[in-house]
Amino acid sequence: MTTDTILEVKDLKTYFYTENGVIPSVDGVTFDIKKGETIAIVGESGSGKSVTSLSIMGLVGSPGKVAGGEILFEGKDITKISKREMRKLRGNEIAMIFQEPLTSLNPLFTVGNQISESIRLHQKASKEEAKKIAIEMLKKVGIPRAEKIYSSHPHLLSGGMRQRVMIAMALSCNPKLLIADEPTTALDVTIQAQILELMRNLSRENDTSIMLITHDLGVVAEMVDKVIVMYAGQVVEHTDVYTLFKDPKHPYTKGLLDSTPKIHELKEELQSIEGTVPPPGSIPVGCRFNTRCPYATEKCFSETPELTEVSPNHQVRCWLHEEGEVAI
Amino acid sequence: MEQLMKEDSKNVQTEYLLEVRGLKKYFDVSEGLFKKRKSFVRAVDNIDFFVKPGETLGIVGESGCGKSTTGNLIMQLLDKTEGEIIFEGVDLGKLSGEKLRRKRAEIQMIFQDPFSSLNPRMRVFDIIAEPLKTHHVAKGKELENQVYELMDVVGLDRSYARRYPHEFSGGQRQRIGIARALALKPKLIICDEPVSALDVSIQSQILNLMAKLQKEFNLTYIFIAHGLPAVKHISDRIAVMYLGKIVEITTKEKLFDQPLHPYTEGLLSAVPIPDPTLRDKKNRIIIEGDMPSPANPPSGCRFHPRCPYAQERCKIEEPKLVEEQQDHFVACHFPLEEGHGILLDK
Repeated sequence: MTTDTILEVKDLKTYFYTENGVIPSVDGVTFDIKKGETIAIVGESGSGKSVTSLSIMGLVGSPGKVAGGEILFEGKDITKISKREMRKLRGNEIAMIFQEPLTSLNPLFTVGNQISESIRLHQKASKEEAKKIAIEMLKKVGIPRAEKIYSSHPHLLSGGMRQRVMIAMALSCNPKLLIADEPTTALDVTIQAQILELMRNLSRENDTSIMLITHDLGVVAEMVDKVIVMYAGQVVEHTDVYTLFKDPKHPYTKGLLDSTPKIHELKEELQSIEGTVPPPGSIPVGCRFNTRCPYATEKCFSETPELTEVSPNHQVRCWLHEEGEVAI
Repeated sequence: MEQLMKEDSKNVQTEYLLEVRGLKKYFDVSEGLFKKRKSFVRAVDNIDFFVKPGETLGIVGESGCGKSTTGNLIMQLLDKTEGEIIFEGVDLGKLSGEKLRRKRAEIQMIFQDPFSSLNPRMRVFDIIAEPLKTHHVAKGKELENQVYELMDVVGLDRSYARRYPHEFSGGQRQRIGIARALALKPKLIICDEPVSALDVSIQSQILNLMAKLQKEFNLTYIFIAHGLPAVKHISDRIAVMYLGKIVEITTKEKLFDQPLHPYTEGLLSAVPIPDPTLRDKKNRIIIEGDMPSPANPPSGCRFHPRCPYAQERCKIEEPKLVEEQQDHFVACHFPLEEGHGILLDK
């Protein structure tokens, strides 16, 4: 492992043990994030992208648990450390922002109270120091009248403001890694543009690595360096953002790109992927995408493809590319 | 009398299928001790537009701009405060009872959330059959045939008829909603965020289905959404709303190529383009601030506190929606001369 790798996920398996059997929500996911790098995990509902991020944060609740693999944060396997140590890491070194900023803020406490709490906890700052840092953070994320907002309750703020508060809170301890799970999905598009710009600037200034979880390929194209495409709990394609958009190799990736409306083109044709993501628990034998794949052959229904490198830094899980280049 | 005859004849020839004139909807909000202080939320504040038969009019805007209220007003789900909603030459506000019921059957709606807009205790068959029964269109074997035909049309397997909504995915539920909306052979369908709750690959399935049905049944759509990409795909003309007002309305091509209103320009610029090679070339205009509350809208032009080009006049005088260029209406004192669109392949 090189020193500039901040997070390394190796063969992560997160399973949910339900009455109806074991559901492999994340099934052997491997990737890494370097210092200052922004990566995206893309996939539709049920692809396992959110469970991957919760696993990293150590927030997978019963009946789910990390059943295998390693999550190395700065070289240390955080699946093996105690809850106490994990708490030290979480919110301090690794921070997370969620999709719905209203439900992730406590409605009973003021904004300031919630931000300074984590600062006091992790930085051992006094009450006054914490308040100073918190107000500074609020200003940094572009909140006007930061002193007033500091003593307001979350319900008084708009969605965009709340998400800024969440970002201020997440960044208050200068985390090395920020996990953002659909951070702008619930926001209006002009507010989304503001928040994305804010995240771009913050990562540039502080060299924070960002792991962005999203289903919006537009956001991916504007924000990230590397992309991981997930389908039914597995990585199906993994490469840099330019290659992914120019030369997608997996039929699912291609389908996703084709079904994304091209806002900048007048004459666009919208293609769709037939069918839906198989529900966890009824995953097909062979390639998991075989039920929806227009190129599926007999082999795809019997044998499971591995994630293999088709060109340097471009991995695909598909039988079509077994013997090198195939045009799809 | 003439009015009555017009209503009853099936072949009313007007240029527009729907015309909205000076439509207003104010919601009362009471505040203070004993709720004495009254104020209004001006959700929709004096808007005019028309929809031609067979076309799709998109209505876009951010939360709180009044787009859904507009849809609900046309659908007669809300009572308007003022204005006229003229459908096939008839002011719906002047109709009542059976006449309104009959007219209203020609306007149907598809809702955003296919999870809460379908009755969880009804089977798919009954959901689709309900409007046919209510309006006494069919019964018995004929009813059954019509329901199954509708299921075929929207791409639902007939064997699903006995199932309940929770057994379906979001996309399939939206198909059920569409089948139900089509049941009474409406002329106008109001689609309120029909694909916002769906995954991308499913969104395109539904959008393609809607385009196909439009051709097949000669439908007219009003497509309400906050997401420009979906609206652009399906619309012929697009209206942009901001704080209860229409700020710009024109053809899709003109709107995306050369917007005249600064808000439209900012809105277009905010949409992420799914092409990483354009990320640095893009002319990024970021609209600062949040949308003000519709209960207390800014004076003059409602967009002026966020507008990068605002001048003194904008704070005082409210701009009217005028036809600045042919088929291109804008409500701005200083329409953009070189507005930045986002079309690259014009």
